[in-house]
Amino acid sequence: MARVDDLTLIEQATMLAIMRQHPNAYGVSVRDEIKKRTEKDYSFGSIYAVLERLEDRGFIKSREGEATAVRGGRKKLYFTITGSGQLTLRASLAAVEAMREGVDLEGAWA
Amino acid sequence: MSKEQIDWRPFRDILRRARFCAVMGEIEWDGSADIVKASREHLYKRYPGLVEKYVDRVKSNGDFDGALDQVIDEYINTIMSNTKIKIPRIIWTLFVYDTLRVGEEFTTIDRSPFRDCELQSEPPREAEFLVGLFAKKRYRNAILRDLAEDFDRDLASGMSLDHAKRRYWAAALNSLGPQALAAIKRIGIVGFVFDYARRWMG
Repeated sequence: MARVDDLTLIEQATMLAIMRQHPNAYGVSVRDEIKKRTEKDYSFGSIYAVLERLEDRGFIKSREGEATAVRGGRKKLYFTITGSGQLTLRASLAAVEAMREGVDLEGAWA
Repeated sequence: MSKEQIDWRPFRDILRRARFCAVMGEIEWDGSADIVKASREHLYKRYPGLVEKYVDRVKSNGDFDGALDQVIDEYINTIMSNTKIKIPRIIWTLFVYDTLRVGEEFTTIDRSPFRDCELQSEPPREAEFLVGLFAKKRYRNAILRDLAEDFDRDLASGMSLDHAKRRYWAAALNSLGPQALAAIKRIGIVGFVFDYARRWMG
């Protein structure tokens, strides 16, 4: 297996949430998707810190939505996965799956 | 008209719902004119008997115009004294006028003064300022917008303004740590302190 560019759990979850919410993936929808599926309630600060890391590494890209009259014309920032992001996510999930394969989680405790 | 006779809650709920719809992009937002339109639609859909109640009261009075003005005035006073949402009286006036006179011509109502009115139930400015201090410039507006969407969602769910503001503060403070850490990783501790001081001093 080729070397995997490591992704943390929250990075994996964020990228999967972006894919699930496409093309409507922005801060609130990503946070809500993660909360709905994992019951983990991350702050926007945490979500955007992850998004910043992922964007800096080229795994996602962002675009501004249309300005609305509400909230002083602030725009939504939409995120999408890039090609390298998809490859990295796939490899990262495959690595986890490879580690998990064959392990009897029910009887693994000491 | 006594307070007991007037159920002001539907109006509060409808306004919150209308505002929430606007934030979520479900309706176009054009200041007070759209909130009146959206509110009226929701009012008829959710509380079909309410409008008729007040229209009947006005019509049974004989002197339609005079009675209407009086009812509207009392109605607005009651709504404003009962709701914690700080909405300019002028918006309530337009809203109630439109609600009671639905189906009639509104040519006598000059809407232009209402155009610039906005709801005043905004998130706490100090919390927004703090979030803005630590957030990366590229994401600053997006974070503040997302926090505001949660704030509007809370209000739309029927939460009081004070409670919604407390939740906004909590969410804002929770966001500071990760954003500060991200900033330190980005520019180092010295750069972070320098940048913080620069922003603080404007």
